[in-house]
Amino acid sequence: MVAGDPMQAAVGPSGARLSVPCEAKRVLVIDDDEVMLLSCRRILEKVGYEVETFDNGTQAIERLREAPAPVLLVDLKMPQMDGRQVIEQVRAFDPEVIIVVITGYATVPAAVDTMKAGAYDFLPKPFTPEELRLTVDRCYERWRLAAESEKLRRQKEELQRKFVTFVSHQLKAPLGAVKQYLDVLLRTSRPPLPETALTWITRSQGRLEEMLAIIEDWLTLAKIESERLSDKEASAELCAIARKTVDAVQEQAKAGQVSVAAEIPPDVVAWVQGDVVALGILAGNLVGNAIKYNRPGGRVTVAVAREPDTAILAVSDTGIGIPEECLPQLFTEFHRVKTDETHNIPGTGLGLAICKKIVEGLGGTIHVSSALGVGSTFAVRLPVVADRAPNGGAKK
Amino acid sequence: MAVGKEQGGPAQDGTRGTARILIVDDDDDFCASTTALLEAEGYLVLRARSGKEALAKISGESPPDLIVLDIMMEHLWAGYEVNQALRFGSRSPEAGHVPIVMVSSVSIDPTERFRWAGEVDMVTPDEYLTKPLDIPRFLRTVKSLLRHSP
Repeated sequence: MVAGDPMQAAVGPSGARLSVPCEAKRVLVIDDDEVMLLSCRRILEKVGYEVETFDNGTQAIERLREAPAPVLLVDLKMPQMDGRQVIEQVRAFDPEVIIVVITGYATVPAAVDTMKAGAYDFLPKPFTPEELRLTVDRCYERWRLAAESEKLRRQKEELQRKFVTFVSHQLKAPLGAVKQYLDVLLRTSRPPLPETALTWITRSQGRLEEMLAIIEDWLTLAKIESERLSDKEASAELCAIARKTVDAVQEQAKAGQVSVAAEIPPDVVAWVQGDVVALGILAGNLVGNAIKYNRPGGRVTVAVAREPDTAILAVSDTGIGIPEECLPQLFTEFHRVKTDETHNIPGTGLGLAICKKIVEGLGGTIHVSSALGVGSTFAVRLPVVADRAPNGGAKK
Repeated sequence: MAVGKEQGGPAQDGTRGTARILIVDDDDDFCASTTALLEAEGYLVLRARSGKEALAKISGESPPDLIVLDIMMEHLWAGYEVNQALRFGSRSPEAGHVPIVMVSSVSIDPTERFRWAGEVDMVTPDEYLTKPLDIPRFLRTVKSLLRHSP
């Protein structure tokens, strides 16, 4: 009875049905009352719907399995399979179809009951043609918006995936090739290069490193946004990460004449949501900043503290501090504090934006307090999870 | 293929004289600079631009002592082809044990890279380095892998 193309029932990897774009405005009606079926068909076909009618649930469910439809109207009281059973069975394989219960036995408990089973709306009999049309229109529109939103979500994901691949290849690869030429040139040139060449090559290397760093951070940001970086199922121990970060920066710290130390009481344990990589990036960025924006002879302290449900990571420095007018913008992309003091400090402007995205993605908060000329403290608060084994290491 | 210039003489792999390193990559620039780097250290460098070419270079002669292999994301099977070449293309029984350093512009975090390699039935690399190479680290890696190979 259906005009137009039969819809393919697409099934995803887990067996769950995928959203299939229905081009036609199809409505399925299930009612054991033939008169009801006829009038629904007449009323709805008049306004452009394709109507399929069934006098029992079994046939309708079979039909829905082979060809998904946007809207299903179902009577509650039917002899073989009642409306509620139909709803339950349909919901088992199709989470998207909009279901409207039509029945003469309209009571609030019955209505609530069918909503719980998965119905979207309830239309008591007798209803006027206008009421039926309005209800079905509203349901179809709802289905259409959900399908549209799903389509957009998938397009966005696809775009982001392509973006990451594109940036990796088209930008990183050539920059990397150039940088490596310069690195090898400096290293292997016989005889050694004249002084100007040496200077300019070294400066070029620096500029290339800047660009590569920005690209790396940009990719990290994109990965976080597409939620591929923060693994929400994993958990990690914050103290271990803090200590590891402190160890990793010792060389950088020494170069800046800054001392970096962990202040973590030995009995503190802080398992938080998130994977080691993301949390490592978070800690690394904060500690790296604390070293960069410091002064010779300055100090950086990395502390972890516990509250019943929260773990707090605090990175404090005795650095140059942050001007108050910069604080609101601090965590936005590409923002960099531009003063005489910060003029020569390298950075991509993405570090804190990355930190904020990681923290908020894990349900936490990040705050900064600072005094110019004295120092700054960045405090990250993350929800604690019950102790569990760390996420698995490299499979081999 | 010139033998390495003066910087301490030919690099030995401990058993067969000058160590032969095969670079598999279609990026001409990366190959040029990496070759110059390795030759300056005294290694003998061979080049293949694809997995298929690597197969041709390996089969019929003794396999290289080390392979630097680009992941080549547009062409995921490059590693697979090299793997095939090593295991089935060469008549030498030691072929399967040639150490492999995988390189790429893409940075994959350590826990991900091995899982990924396993899924496409690729050879599991002995080391994974991002481009541009951290030269001291790269040279250390090469030295260490050559020293420890059977």
